[in-house]
Amino acid sequence: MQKRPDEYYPGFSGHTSFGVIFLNEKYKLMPSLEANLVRIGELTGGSSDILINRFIAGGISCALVSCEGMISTALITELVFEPITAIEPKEDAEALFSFIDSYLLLSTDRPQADDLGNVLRLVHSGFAVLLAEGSTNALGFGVQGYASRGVQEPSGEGNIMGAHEGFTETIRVSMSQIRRRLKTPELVMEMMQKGTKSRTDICLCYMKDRVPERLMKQIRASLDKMNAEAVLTTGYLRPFVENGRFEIFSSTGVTERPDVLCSKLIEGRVAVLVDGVPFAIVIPRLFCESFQTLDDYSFKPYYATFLRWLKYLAFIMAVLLPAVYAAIVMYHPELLNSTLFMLLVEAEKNAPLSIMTEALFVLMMYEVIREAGVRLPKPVGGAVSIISGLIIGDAAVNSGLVSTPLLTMTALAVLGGLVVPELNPEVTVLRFAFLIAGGLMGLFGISLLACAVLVNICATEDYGFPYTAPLSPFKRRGMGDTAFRSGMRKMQERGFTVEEYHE
Amino acid sequence: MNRITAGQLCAMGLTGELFVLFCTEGTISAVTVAGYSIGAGVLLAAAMPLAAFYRRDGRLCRTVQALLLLWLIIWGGMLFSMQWKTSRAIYIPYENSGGSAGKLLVSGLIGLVCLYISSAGIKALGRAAVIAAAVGTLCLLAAAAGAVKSHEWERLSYDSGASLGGEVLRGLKASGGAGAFAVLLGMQRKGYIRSTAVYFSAKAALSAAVLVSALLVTGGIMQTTDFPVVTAAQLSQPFPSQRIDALFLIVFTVYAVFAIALQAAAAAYLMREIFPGFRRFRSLTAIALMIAAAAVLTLL
Repeated sequence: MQKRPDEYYPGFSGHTSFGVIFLNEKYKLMPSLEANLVRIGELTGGSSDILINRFIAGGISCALVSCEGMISTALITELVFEPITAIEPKEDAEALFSFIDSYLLLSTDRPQADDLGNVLRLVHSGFAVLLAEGSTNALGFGVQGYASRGVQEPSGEGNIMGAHEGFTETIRVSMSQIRRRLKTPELVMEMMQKGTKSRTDICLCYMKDRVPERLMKQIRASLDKMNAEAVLTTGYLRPFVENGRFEIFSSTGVTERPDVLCSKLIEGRVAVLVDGVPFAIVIPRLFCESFQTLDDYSFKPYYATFLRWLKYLAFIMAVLLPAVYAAIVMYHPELLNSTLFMLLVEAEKNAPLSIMTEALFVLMMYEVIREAGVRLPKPVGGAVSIISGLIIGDAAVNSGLVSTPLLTMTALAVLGGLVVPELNPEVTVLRFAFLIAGGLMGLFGISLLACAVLVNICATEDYGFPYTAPLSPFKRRGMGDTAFRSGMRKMQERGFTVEEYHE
Repeated sequence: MNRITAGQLCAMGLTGELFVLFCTEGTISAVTVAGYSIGAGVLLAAAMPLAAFYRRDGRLCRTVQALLLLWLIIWGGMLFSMQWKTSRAIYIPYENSGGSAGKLLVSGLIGLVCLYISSAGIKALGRAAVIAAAVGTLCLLAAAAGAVKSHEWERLSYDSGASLGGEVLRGLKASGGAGAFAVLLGMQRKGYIRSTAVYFSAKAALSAAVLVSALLVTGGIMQTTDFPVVTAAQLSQPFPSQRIDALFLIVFTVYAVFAIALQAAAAAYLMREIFPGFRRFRSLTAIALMIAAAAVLTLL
């Protein structure tokens, strides 16, 4: 059964500037092969990656249009050229297309197009498109063969007990990774295209028996309203599916693990895959989820609970430790016992800078080193980190620029931030903000800022799902995977869906 | 319309009530405890008809809304004024070194944070209040643990010379948060009567717990202390060589912010109800009016 391109790409509505031009009547395919090829040449500006192979098939002049690098040459030669050129003579182009489509079955994907817009879209998506003299239709063959990275272990979201494969840049591979784990007809994957220039394939994934109907409608509406030129990373798409208010934490999450995504889909969430990006967007996202890893569900509940509280503690430490240290040492030393107080006095008395300045300096140095390590080529990046960490850190302490306790506190805070990598950007900025508040006004400043941050987190809400659920609004049933981790049998029996948290 | 749960309503209201208790001025005695409890009972009786009214899907008329708005502004001003006065007894780093400018800066910062919080909406405030109340309770429990060491039961018999009627009135005077409660009660989905009963019972219990703790610790020096609850917190030190006054500073700051922000958020909500065309700067207007009210009340 053939499908029209619009059926392959339901999101393609002809509303993009590109689509509007080509859906115009004057860009319909004409019976003259030569005229069609000339117009393709004009429209593509003679782009050198557009390949046009002319040949005779069934006694009719034909041309196969494709895009270099997007197709598999071997596939085209073996599965298209060889059988197609051996076809017996046919009376006209339509008979030829009918024969190819019904008898030869050259590829599984065989979309048809009757205008140049769709022809070029197919070509740019890795299809080889057959045009024939006398036909106002074109027949596409799915022979994609572009170079892509294979399935590899995710660079982040590491785990010990779970699968070691992550999403890839090829959306179809990512879709297959999900399908392999959820072999149920309830899993629906809707393809669409976004970006007036990039025309990026995106895929909306959900479990139709779990996802709240209202959530689906709202997400579709958000995507329909989306007006972007290109979707090159998840960051191009996320603002369009989040509410526009200033939120410190993002109410949509990302994951590069198919197993994690499947668990989210089962909970009734919606995922968006973007072609060219090995991450999936998860909607909605809750704050407590940042502390959950797949390993939590592999270990015994008591150990998983311990790990979870360790992560909560690490998060608080990552945000507040330098600020609380500066506040206590500068303004509230009465909180310390005499031994600790004397130890800190001894360490800080020779430091030439104020504690807040020292802490800011150390944190800034760390961020510079981290950024350099990330951007540089891997072998050099590693060396930079080691040299900076050992040499600069050691030199700073020995020269008396920075005190050892302060360096210890900031290092602990940084380490704490790495325990919850997903929140690292937020933690980094908040750490600086709290440090300045604590350094200027002590615990009073920290308390004030904490109130503002807390309210900002509590105000974060998308599609009626509060980011802070199940803590506030409090949902007792949700505590089984938040305050502690219940047994797997109990969790499976519960049949949780995110709808429980909707307000 | 914003909807809140009974827990959020109680958390918001009770943080405000606790802040007022922290700012209690003058002497307290067992009669004060009784007066505050009776006052809460009186308010409970007065609030029940309102709860029944909401239960019948009733909506406050504009005149009542306007009166409540006026009350929220005045009470918000009083809270600012209480914070201004009580911070004399609490060590706030910049304020102490900055003199009047420092004091203004501290109040200004509190106002600014309250403005942000109230503009985030009552729903967000309610959610945050639950967490803030939980954290604050933990800090207070630490302070209470310290109080165990320094309390003496015979101080319960301290006589301040105040009459029960006077102390009931004092308790009612410290219950300005009931205005915000009256507004927010209508934002619940159900359980109006239960929430009202729980709220005022909890208020009575909290008042009794805080005032009795303060009396047990400061009963001996009641005549010389301006803020008995603050003094009690300062005297309640669980460790021999460390002081935990800073914990009380955290609780005081957080509760002050939530108490004032609650009044501002409720006032902004009423402004929207009374003047539907007034869409922007409602929270800013509410805070500005409260600061003006605070200035007037302080000067008076």
